[in-house]
Amino acid sequence: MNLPWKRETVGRELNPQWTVLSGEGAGQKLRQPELRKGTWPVPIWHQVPSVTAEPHPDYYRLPLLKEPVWIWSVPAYFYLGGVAGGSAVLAAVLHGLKSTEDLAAACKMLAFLGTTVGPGLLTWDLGRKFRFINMLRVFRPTSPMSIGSWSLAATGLLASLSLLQGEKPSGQITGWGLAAGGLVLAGYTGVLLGNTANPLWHETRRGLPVLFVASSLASTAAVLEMLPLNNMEAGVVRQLGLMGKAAELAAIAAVEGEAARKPLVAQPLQKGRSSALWRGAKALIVAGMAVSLIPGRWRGKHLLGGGLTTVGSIMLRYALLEAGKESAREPQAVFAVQK
Amino acid sequence: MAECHPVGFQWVMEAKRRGATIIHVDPRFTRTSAVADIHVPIRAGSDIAFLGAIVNHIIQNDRWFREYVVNYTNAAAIVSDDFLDTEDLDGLFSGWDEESGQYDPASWQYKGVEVTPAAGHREMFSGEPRSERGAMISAEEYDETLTNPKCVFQIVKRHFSRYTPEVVEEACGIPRELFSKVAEALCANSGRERTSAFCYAVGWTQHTVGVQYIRTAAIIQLLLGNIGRPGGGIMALRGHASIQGSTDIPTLYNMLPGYLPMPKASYDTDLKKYIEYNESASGWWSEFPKYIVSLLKAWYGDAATADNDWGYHYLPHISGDHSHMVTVSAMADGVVKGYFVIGENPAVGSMNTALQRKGMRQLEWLVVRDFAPTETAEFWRTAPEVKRGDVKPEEIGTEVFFFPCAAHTEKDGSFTNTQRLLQWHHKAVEPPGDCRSDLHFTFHLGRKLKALYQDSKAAKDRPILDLAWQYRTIGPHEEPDAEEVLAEINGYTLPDRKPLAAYTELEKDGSTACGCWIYSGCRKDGINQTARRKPESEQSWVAPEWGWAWPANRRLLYNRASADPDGKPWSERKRYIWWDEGERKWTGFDTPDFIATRPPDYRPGEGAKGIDTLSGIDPFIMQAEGKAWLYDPSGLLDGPLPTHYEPQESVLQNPLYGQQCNPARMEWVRRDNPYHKAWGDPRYPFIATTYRLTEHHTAGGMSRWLPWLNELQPEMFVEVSPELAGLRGLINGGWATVSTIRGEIEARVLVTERMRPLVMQGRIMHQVGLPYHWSWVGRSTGDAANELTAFIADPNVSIEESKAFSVQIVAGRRPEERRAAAAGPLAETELGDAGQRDLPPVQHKPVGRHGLRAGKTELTEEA
Amino acid sequence: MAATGFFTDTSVCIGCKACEVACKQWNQLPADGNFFSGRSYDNTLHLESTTWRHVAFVEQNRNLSGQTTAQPFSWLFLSDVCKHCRRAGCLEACPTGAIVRTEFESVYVQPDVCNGCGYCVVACPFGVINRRNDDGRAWKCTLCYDRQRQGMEPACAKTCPTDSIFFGPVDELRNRAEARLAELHRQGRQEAWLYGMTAEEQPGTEGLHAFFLLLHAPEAYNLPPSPVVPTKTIGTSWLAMGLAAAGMVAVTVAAVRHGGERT
Repeated sequence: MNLPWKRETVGRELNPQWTVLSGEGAGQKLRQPELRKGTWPVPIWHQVPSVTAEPHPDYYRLPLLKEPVWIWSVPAYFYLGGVAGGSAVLAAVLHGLKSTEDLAAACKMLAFLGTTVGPGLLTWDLGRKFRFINMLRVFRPTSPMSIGSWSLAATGLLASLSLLQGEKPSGQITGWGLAAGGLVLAGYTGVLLGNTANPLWHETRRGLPVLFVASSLASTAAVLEMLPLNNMEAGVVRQLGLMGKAAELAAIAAVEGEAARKPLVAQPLQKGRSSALWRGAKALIVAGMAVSLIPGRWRGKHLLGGGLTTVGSIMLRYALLEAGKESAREPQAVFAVQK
Repeated sequence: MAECHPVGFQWVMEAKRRGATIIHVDPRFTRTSAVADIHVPIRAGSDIAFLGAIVNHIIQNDRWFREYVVNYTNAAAIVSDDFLDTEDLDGLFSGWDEESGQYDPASWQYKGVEVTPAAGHREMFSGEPRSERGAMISAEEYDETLTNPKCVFQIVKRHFSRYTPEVVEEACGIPRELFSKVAEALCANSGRERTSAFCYAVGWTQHTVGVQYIRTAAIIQLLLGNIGRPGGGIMALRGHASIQGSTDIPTLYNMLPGYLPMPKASYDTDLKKYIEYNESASGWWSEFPKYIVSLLKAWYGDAATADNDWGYHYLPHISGDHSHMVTVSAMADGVVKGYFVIGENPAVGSMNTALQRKGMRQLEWLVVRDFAPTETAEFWRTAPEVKRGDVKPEEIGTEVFFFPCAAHTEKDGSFTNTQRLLQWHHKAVEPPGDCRSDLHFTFHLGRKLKALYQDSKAAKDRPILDLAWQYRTIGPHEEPDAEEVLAEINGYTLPDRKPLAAYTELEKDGSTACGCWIYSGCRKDGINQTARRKPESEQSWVAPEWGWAWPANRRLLYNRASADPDGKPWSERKRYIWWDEGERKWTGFDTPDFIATRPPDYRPGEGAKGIDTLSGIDPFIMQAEGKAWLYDPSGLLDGPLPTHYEPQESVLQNPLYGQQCNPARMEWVRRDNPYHKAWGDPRYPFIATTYRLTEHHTAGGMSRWLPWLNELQPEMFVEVSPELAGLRGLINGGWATVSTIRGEIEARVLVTERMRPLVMQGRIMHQVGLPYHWSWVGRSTGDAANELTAFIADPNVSIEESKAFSVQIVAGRRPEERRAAAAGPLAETELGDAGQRDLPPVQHKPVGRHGLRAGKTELTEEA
Repeated sequence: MAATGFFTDTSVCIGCKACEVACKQWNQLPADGNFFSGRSYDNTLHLESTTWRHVAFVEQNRNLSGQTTAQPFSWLFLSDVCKHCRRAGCLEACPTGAIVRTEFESVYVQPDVCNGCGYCVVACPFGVINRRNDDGRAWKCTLCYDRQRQGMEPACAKTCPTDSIFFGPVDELRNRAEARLAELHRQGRQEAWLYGMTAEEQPGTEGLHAFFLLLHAPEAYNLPPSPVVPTKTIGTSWLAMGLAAAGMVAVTVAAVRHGGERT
């Protein structure tokens, strides 16, 4: 119809002013009727409904749970937060030591960057970005996100303070405070994912925090590895990197083991797009480790090893988000977990 | 019922909660079936075979309620010796007149008596109507032992004797055990202690034998004693709000308010004759003069005097059948020039929509009042035939006026539901913009007409000038006060205009005015009784103070039948109205639907007149003889007893009689309305039935513009069984094209076991389900199911047959260049098989000459 | 104030979807658009940020007990809604305090506080709450908080023609549900059972304020058989993190010591 009064309205279509939705719940424009943009791509069902439900009933294979709504910036933050956490801990341990001042300064800078860019990334994901400050409106101990928000805020403050204090002795206390916050930053994201109804994340809730902490170590080391370092520093970073990557790979195996207890839960790590990311991440981390194990010290090796591990660690976080989305789409996985 | 009347269905669920057994008979497994105890899948169009078998079951197994049947029905009456049954004539009754193509009901009468129907269809009878002689009922012959082979009971017994469970299996596809279970459940739930109720909707009425479907149910209910008793009855579920109201105060061409017949041009030439032809000598219709005079006083006010027959000549007089399809085919033939369409969407909701639109193309003007420009308003611009290029908008001369109208929340008024309950609704908000109520439109149209004619001296303009049209108006839009209209409907005394309390206060001397006699009392004491909303918890379970029911606030019609002949309740459990010997009057939970002080032992003496002819055991006071009719001696055009006839377009040959279809059906034999073969048409091998969904409203005018409803049922679809899907390669969620010779439509496919093929006569029958809500305008669109249906009707009420016809279904979308018989290249009419439908005496009946439809031949046959 | 909630009795539901429409009308929620899903009569498919009541249509080729049909078949309906769990995953996950427990013990998202972090979306074990793409905030059933404040029952319960959705104080609802269940069992309808009514039956949520009488396994209606609020099991997660953090400190210290020494 090409009626002159036809607008994108609901109701009688004689005058848009009478038919506009109003009130608290009406903050959404009408979607185009032709383009249903649901959360999931749901195809038209082609089977006879009554004969498809047995023996394992479900509801037309429709997802039970909602997919995570988080966008790219959230796994990016997971990575940055992890690096900030690892750096904060290393900075604290290095405090006061001779010949690693540059490394300590770099760590503090990384902690500072992570805790200032990180909140930006998180805010970018928010549905209402200008309400980011509401994250600090209450403290809710049951919510890892609340704990994380406060830690992030505190760590950010301490990281700034720490940068200002430099190698002053008073920085020791700030450093340990920063490290404490850093430890939370490194691991809370794993708890955050584990504290969901998502079948994959929920089933791997023990392994995930370990994985995030281990990966935080490995990612921190990988970034530091790529910087120009003196021998002393390089030794520290190499040790840290090797142990971090070993721990990361072990944690990956642990997570896979946890998930594998229920075949449908493990499926996103084995099939499809998310599994490609997951396998890719694993391969990159293994490759990074292998490069690190090559004897000798030359710049290219450090860049390559650090780079591979960095990309692997970032990919790992994207893989986890994607796998989470994939897992939410499988109703039988939910039934298997929540039984 | 759950599908189309979910709000009313709450009471069914309440009954179920209290232990009632719910039986659902439907070709499809619907939302009603889902909560029913028994679902009976039936072949669409075979209900009389099914119901007739229940009648037979009741009689053969002696399950009927003897005392009720003997005393309250005409079971004992002796029928004319001339009567011949379908048993004798292979599907015809005696009295078939080859010349006129219709029945002469003379041989159906009681022996030595002529009785006229209570109301309604007198005008259908050809020739001069017989005057009423109800007083002669006393001369009637009875056999209270019910053994005389010519008594009604024996005739009914014999007529239905061939309706066996085997026939049900053969004709309806219902397994014998399932049938027995239903029949037994019904019998077990009837009698002194229990009652059963029937509910039906257009699934029963929209057939060429629609009226007889309901008649069969009436016979069952009377045999079981389920009429006039609490928990019994036959409930007609109407198509939408206040359809009952629109028959009481009718939008029907042949009726005046309160079921007074419309005057006939040919013989109701003056008031005296009109009264003579319509007054009954006994029963409540003996008060007929009071009703018509009071109506005329209400309409013409001071201009109605005894000298001018109370303005009787102002009333329009009809010259024949002006029912919907007759009028539309006359439109298509260029005879009808103007058309008001108010709150209706015939371009979608009426049968053979292409022919509907063809009719509208020939009009000079068309007025559409609706919420949004419906297909009917847009027929000239975007209809399928316009898109196809068969018809060009610039060549259509029809001037279309579209008026936006107010919703029920935007105006005062009343709804009358199927139980005759009037409920007032108050305006909640002002109608937006140019939207106005129908009352506003009609009132101001009348005002403008009066203004146009005010200087006229011509006699022909007196009806407009003398019309009493003084209603108070309210607000800036001059909205007429709906309650003033109600006051006129209720009636008042003249000249002091005091509200009447009941129709018993009406007079025939012009001292009362009443817009609708059956509604008199709805504004008793000047109080709007229909607006009463006293909760159920604060009054008796009959809730007489909620709204107002016509007549006289009776909640249950013929409720004298809830007591036995002695006036005592049939049982304590089912007590409702009884005779109080101490007070010498009828009393109970409801207003007695009987003369309140007439004792059960009263018998009319010789020469009693009017309501005095009703004896103390005559509960059916609107009938001339006070008895319910198992057998209809007059009043129906297609036979005194229901008989199974196949639909016009069937897949089966009539398994019961040589006569395939209802011989008296109305056909429109015209090239834009072709029919399939009577049965077994190889081009159209499947049975189709149309229906509604909960989510939409009839032709969609009220629902297809609402996104909240559209998202629930967004597209036209067709429901098929997995077996039919396999046969035709249909995929769930894919497309199918459904066609008849009249048109073809495409629809999404919903494959479901809710549709099941039926096995009958060793063959597998497939049924196709077609919701009819969609068409090409609105926010949710699809092809209209009624592109497929035909002009073919029941003779009694001119209702179409859209619930059973034959179709073809194939996978895939229809071609852009889809056919329609009424537009573009015309399909060849298959007239060669007309003989199959009828026995030789019926075959050459004159087309379209039913009743008084003068000139029908020239209207329907194309030049 | 006493906790209020819904008892949704699917044995009397007729699938009319009036609750869906009444909810959208009262709460002024937009339609989700036209999509013919091919899934029986269900075209809205799931609870959404813009669909707070959803009616599921389950076709199955077997009879319910006491039901007679020509061939085995039954059609089940369920009007799904936010369960307003006693232990609510969304509420416990919400970092902003936008999700609160009201005086009616219902779980309510304050639209003026919610910043759309999306954590509640993954924390709900029923997949009820979701974030709107255009509005950015999380939305779900409010148990008609505004109507309840005015002493009115929620729109869906008000409109339900068969009282399949029954609203009232949870204690009363439980009595009603138990009586109804007993009645159905008396009638021989053994497949009827109560989903999520008590903490014993559903320890993972400690009982629902909107619970159901079902006629089939929960999976058939897309309900989790035994949902668990994530926070109930999160202790081990924190423990694992604590251990890992300790390990991290140890590894870092070791790396600094050994790494520094070797060179």
